[in-house]
Amino acid sequence: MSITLTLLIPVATALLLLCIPKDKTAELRITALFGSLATLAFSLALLGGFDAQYGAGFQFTEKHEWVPSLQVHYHVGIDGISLFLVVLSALLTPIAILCSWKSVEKRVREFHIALLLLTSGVIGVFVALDLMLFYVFWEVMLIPMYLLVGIWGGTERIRAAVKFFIYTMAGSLLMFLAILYLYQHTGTFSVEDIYQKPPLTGTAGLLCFLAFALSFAIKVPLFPVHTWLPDAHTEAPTAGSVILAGVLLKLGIYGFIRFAIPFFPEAAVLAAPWISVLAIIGIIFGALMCFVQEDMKRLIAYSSVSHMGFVVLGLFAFNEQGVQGCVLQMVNHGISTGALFLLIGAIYERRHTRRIIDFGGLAPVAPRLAIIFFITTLSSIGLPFLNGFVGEFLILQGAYSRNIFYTAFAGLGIILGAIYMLTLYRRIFFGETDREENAEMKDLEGRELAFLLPLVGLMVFLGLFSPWFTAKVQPSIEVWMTLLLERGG
Amino acid sequence: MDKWIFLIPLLPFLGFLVNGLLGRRLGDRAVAIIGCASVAGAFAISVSSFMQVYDAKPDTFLQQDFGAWIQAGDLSVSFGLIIDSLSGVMCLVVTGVGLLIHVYSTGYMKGDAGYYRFFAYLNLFMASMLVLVTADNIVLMFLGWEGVGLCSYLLIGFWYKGLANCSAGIKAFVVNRIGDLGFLLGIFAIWAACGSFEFSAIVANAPNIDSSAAFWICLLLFVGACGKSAQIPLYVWLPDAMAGPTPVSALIHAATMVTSGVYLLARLGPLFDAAPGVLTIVATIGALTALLAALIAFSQNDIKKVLAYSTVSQLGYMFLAAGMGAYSVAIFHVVTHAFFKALLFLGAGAVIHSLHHEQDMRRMGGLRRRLPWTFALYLIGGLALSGFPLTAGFFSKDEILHIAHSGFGNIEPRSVLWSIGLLTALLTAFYTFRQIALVFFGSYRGASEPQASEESAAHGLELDKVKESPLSMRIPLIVLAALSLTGGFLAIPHFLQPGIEIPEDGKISGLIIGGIVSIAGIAAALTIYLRFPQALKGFLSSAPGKLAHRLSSRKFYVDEIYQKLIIRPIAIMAEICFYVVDRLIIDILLVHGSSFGASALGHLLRRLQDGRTPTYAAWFLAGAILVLAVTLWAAGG
Repeated sequence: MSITLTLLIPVATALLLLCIPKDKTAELRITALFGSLATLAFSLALLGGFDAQYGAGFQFTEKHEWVPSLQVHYHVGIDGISLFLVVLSALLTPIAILCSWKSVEKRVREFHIALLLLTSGVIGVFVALDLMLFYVFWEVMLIPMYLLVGIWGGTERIRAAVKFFIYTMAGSLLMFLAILYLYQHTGTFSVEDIYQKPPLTGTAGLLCFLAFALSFAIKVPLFPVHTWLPDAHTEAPTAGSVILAGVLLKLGIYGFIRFAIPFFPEAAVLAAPWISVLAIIGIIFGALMCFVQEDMKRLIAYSSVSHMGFVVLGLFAFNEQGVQGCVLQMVNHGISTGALFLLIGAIYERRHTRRIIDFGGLAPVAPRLAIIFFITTLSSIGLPFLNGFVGEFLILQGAYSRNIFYTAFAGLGIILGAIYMLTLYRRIFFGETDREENAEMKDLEGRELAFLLPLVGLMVFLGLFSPWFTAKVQPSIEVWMTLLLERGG
Repeated sequence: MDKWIFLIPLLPFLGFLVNGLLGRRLGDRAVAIIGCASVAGAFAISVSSFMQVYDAKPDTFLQQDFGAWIQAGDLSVSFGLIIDSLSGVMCLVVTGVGLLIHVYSTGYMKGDAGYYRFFAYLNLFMASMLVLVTADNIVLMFLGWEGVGLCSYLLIGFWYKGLANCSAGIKAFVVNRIGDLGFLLGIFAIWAACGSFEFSAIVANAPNIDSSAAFWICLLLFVGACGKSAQIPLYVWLPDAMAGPTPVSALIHAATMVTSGVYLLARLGPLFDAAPGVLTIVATIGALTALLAALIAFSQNDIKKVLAYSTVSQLGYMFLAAGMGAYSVAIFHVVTHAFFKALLFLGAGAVIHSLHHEQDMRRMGGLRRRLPWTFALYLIGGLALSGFPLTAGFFSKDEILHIAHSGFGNIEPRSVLWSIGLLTALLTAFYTFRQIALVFFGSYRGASEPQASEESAAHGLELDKVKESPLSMRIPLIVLAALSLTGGFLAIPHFLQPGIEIPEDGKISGLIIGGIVSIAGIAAALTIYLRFPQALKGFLSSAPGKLAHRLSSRKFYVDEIYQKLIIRPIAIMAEICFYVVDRLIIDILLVHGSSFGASALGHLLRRLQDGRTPTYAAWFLAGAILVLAVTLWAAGG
């Protein structure tokens, strides 16, 4: 029941919000916060109850009939790979609510309902073990995200939301066709059953893989289908950006791991070099994009393209180091990029501008902001001692075992990353405080520290004690690798 | 003592945490005490660990393991520390010189608004440097390696209101990162070849690694060493790093961090021995860097810039030694250089402090009477750097030249590199005493600025207002001066490599030649700058003189070349990628193109919605039939 509860609590909270008058904003916020904290508590219970030594298969599974005529089941469960993604999703929701405490004043009730439904949707994607169930969650989660950007976003929000929608719908449609074809071929929607059936090979397998892959690549996003991301990120409210970067981008990677690769191993292996090259182009291209950005949020959005390139590269190395690094780096990216968006949101809330040129000399004015921003920057550029390094190290080692040149070129992203992040930091925090608005800016307050410090703590914790994490993921990766091997990957 | 070696890096780290988190409230005095005490503690433990290693038989070491740091499949990296003779010597130098510089800083930084921040960074640097030195595996060493790079960045840009300081910090960090990419690739290659990251395993495996793998591993690691230790082509960050406070220049950019590259080579000596091709590259780069930096040092007017280029040059000597396979001799020079270069930098700091932050040697002169202590101590440092007979620099540098001349182990003599080294020695003695002449001799030129108004009160200081620095700054200088005089008598090569065979032939004549070269350089500089300044002016206004001076003072235009060949093209490429690829091709042509197509289709489809109920009903029916058909087909299939 734990998984179902984790899924239902946000929905229940959203229903509860409907019963509260919409002008009682304080009550609405507090209710939503407690609902999201309860979700977090249940996800942590999953983490606590998770048995790393369990061996093959999924834990906490539940299976009920849903549409008997089509053999669609409500079938959920988690393994080491989805475990941390569920926890991350549950962790970022209360943070998203807290960071919107003052900045979101329009349609407060609807905002929180959208946020909570989004949480349920993404957690659903991570736990679904039935393809139809997965697809329902996958589509359902699009709507609140679309609304978050389109209603509570910035000035260009409609354009960004439409672009986001077109991109993702285009991917979803093809994937739906592939799911139907797969069902026709295997006669089941159950992920575990499909794992046992002989895989689709040849052209059919390749086409189905590509249909899945396109949908997932758009979500990641992989170069060249990434251009929705900067727009969506820049226009989304802070809470939306945090969830988008922290969780939504991971859905694509997760889709590759859970569905696209083990379903069609032959095609995946065939496509791996191409996808790896696209990932590397994304790493360098995304980093170069950051050099010419004038809006700090847009800069971080492009840096996400670069970072997610690393994650894809690690996955398609198809070895333990690479995949382990991929899973870890998904979580790391959620923490550090999430924190960067939160910090930029805090700055925007105070100054109502995100243009880098409007800033300078904030370090003495807002020392707490400066320190947390700096640690987050270091985490983002992969400095050892913090989380980003461990993930990057494993990914690059994994890629090195696959092809030395992958690592050599991807490594350029590390150099470029240091340049654009440190330059961004310098432009915001160093130099003379020559503008009055900057000199009067307030430092971070208790509420903001309450959601930023835990993230900083996680950066250090995962940077120093990563075996705690990797030990829980390792058995699932071994199962996954064997599965791949058995299915001819 | 085995149980306590983890405290060597941990104590300074705790100092960093306390000073960093609470320093603002603790007050300057407490901050200084915590900063110095934590390093003193690390020094004490280093001494006792070192004694234990020293007393025991060769090849003993203390080791401590604190479990895994990174783990994935069969890959594992642990928090493991080791103190053997090599890391023991390095620990002593780092904590010893570090302690002196901490004490000095308590006086030098007095009254600075960022006092607590400064000591926090300095302690963090000590912790990182000590991790780098004591790590028993190369990935943990990389943690220290990046940590010292971070602290270097933070301390170069310590006075962050000046954007130029921050840019210098970023330049240092980025150039180091270029080297670090090489280092990282080397680490990956090591794992692919040895299946382990531990130094002991790598060294044990070294003879079995095939020669081309060994070549690439060593070359990549050397790229990393070039970044951190400021060798061609990655030396450009070090002179700019002088933007940081002077104690930082002494500690990080002279005595300790910049020697990490040499330490890396020494640590993996047997691996480099298996890659003779790389050793040739190392020796050549070292000798060329030594010469190039010495030529640039000639014409610098900033008191710290001269020392910075001299550091680059001396690091070149160390790589020359390492490239001869004589790692212990390289470490010998690391140690003596740490003494005399820290002395020189701290002495320069004392001058700068006394002159209220004046760094331009053209505004100095005649300071020996007002600053007798500083002068005497600086002179000792200058003599050691010039390799004046019986000083520390004399022994270590001449050992390097001797090895280059006579060969070492399997490595043949490299006469060309030896002659470059000898020429550089002459230049070194010359530019060092040019500096001493400009700063301490002649007449004082600082007050003669006509436009010295109130806003530039720092400049145009009257000579009789120039005062000696406080005792807290002088005592470290005295200790370092004593070490610069006697450090050459330490038998470090024999301690590090018991049974090392340094050829005896020509050793004495080498020492004599070295001494003569040094004295000649000193004499030439003093004669020209004190007796015949007019002749010098005459030479500099002649055509070849002008060209030479221009090349040297513009640093052979290397920064400009990098700007044109690397930085500018990357910036242009970024613009092209953004405006052409991202905006135009992908976004406008592909995405908007297809969405335009979609909306055109939408216009067509809108005809279906004519607002008449029967039309809708018809379409609804058609849709329902289609869905039903698909479902049946799917269920049947």
